[in-house]
Amino acid sequence: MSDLLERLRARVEERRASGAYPPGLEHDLDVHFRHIVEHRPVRNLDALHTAMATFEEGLRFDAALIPTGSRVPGGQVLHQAAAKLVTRQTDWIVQQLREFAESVRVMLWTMIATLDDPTHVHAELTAQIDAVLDRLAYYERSPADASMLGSIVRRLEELEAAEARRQLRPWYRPEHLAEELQGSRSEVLAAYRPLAERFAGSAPVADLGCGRGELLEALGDLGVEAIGVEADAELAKAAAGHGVAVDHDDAVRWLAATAPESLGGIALLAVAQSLSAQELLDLVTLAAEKLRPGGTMVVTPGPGEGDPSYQRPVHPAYLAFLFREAGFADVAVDAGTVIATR
Amino acid sequence: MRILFVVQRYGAQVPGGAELAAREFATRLALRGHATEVLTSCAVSYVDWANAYPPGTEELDGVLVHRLPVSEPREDRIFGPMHARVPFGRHRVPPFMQRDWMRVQGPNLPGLTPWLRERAPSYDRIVFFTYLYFTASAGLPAAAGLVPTVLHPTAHDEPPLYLSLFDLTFRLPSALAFLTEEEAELVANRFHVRLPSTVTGLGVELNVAAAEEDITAFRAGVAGLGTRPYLVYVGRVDPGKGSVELFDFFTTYKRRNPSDLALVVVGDPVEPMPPHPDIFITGFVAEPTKRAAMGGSLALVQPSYFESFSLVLVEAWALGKPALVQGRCDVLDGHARRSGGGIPYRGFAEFEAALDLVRSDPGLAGALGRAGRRYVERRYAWDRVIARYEAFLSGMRVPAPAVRLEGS
Repeated sequence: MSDLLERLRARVEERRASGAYPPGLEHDLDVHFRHIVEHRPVRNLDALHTAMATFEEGLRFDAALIPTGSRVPGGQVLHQAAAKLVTRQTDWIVQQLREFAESVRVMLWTMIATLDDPTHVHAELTAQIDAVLDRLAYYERSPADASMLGSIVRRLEELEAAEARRQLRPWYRPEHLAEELQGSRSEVLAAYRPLAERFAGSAPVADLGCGRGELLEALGDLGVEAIGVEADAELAKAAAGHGVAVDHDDAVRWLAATAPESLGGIALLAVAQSLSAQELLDLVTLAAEKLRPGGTMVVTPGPGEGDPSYQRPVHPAYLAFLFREAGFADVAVDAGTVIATR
Repeated sequence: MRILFVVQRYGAQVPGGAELAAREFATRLALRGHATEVLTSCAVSYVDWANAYPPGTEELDGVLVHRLPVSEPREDRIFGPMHARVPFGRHRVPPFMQRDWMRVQGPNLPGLTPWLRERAPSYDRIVFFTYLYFTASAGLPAAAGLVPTVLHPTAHDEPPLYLSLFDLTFRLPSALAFLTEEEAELVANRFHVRLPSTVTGLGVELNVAAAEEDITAFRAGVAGLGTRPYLVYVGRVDPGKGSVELFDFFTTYKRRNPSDLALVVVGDPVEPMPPHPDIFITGFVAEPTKRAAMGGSLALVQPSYFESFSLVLVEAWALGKPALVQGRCDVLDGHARRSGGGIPYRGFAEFEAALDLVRSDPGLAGALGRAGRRYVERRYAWDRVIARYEAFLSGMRVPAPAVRLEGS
């Protein structure tokens, strides 16, 4: 390839020498290229090279170049004689000038070579900028201290695993447990009928933690529109199987998403004991917001420690206090059941 | 490995060298059993980034493609003057203006950064194609540090490369991948980065030939071409690709050297060439027609100033065709010198002399074509390229921090 390119360039030079390219042709055809690539950083040392060529031309120090001619008669002879007299001194000065010029010449070429070197890019400055950019990139790549983050992540994973171990994942059917603790569905249905009558004229009624849906069925029998909310998927499915409307959801989340003053009644039967203290507070506040004026909320006690989801006993007096504090107009306690009217 | 490619456009209808390279790598890695996915825009055209594909996820040749909608198309009314001022202006512009230019250039994908922040840790490698667009400029900062990342800059020696906006972009990936040695050198000189890197190249099909009947059919399909000998140019007709220079050089050559030599131009016109009786423009053609056009030519001419690889040159060599290449493009010059398959020319005089040589010496033209073919077989057979690439990706060091705190 290099032979071929040499041949090619030799041919071009021959053609140039023979005048095959009219003046300006090559330059004119290069205009587009120059326009397109004018952004490229080009180190133009042409002016320096021209100056150096002139400098080199001038490096001719010789005593013989000292003119001896004169227009004065006999002047030339006089000059030549004077030159001869100081030959030793003149030669010595010329020699010193030659040595000085040579050292300047070497120094200038060294400077030009340094400038001409494509790697000459003000190394210290470039290195400093590069170091700043590298550091920036490091921070971008490592948003925080890596080892610290690693230990946080490990700790978080351990906590999540521990929390997962604490969660209740029953292998038995929740329906069977409800039957064990509360009695058969027909027994519970019979027990809930008087409670359902309290909600007559209070539609729509929400039964939070509706379990197998006995109250919903009793309300349906009375013609009261009602909906159940059950967090346990299996129980929600079982309730829906009895033809009642059930949302599989968390009671607090469901109530929070309900429109204000859109409910006529809320039932919380045997559920309060399974809520955290804060969930119970939130539920009472939300009930005050979601019940329309005159609406009723009924809370019954649960089966107590027999229930695996049991968290704490909820005393009816405390519940009554909460409803009063939340602004309910009338709060009554009847055999452990709290009835609050807004 | 679970690998995500991030590229500005992706699809069967998408032209463009970098996009095609991304598609080839993704598809071939999927074929080798890697779970390969792509994150891209809904656009087909980079001129306006108009949403052409529906947003969402689809499978294409074994690759899961996630498309994000472009929020606003590129408006030339705004982008044109900004482009002239920011990368092409005479003076340096401040960073905020460069960021504005990037936003206006597009493709504007507001969903890109959240998508990457959320899902990046689920991939083993994320590969970004093309430094120039929003996808790398915004995507790399989002993914860097969460997963090993690779940037294929597909960089050319073009004005945007010199914007300080990109100083950080080139330092964020875990590694860089280049298509040629010259691209690696260009990036090293411009950015002084010290990252692991590789030169992958691009693969090309070697079991290809242009059948005589296809060449005859191609000639018959180009009105007026007949049996005239011709040079072929394949690519976008775009001043940046050297099309104006090629037109000037070729028409001057014809004026100075009258003959029946023609120039066949195969590609979409961005800025059309003026009509000329010796120049035949086919527009975009299907792959077999392109192959026939190259196969029937005297030589391929590649006048582009800006190339990071030049697939078309390698394809011409795979067909055993000689080439005349722009010697002022380091990548093309490097290919030609390493392969011995093309003559690099600098300026009109050398173009004329090179064309004279190829026309007058069929033996030389044949030898150039054979040398080009050997070069491609040695370096750019797909199985070799993809094996090298796979080894590079799997050998990458996994970054220490695997988590990013929100808002950091």
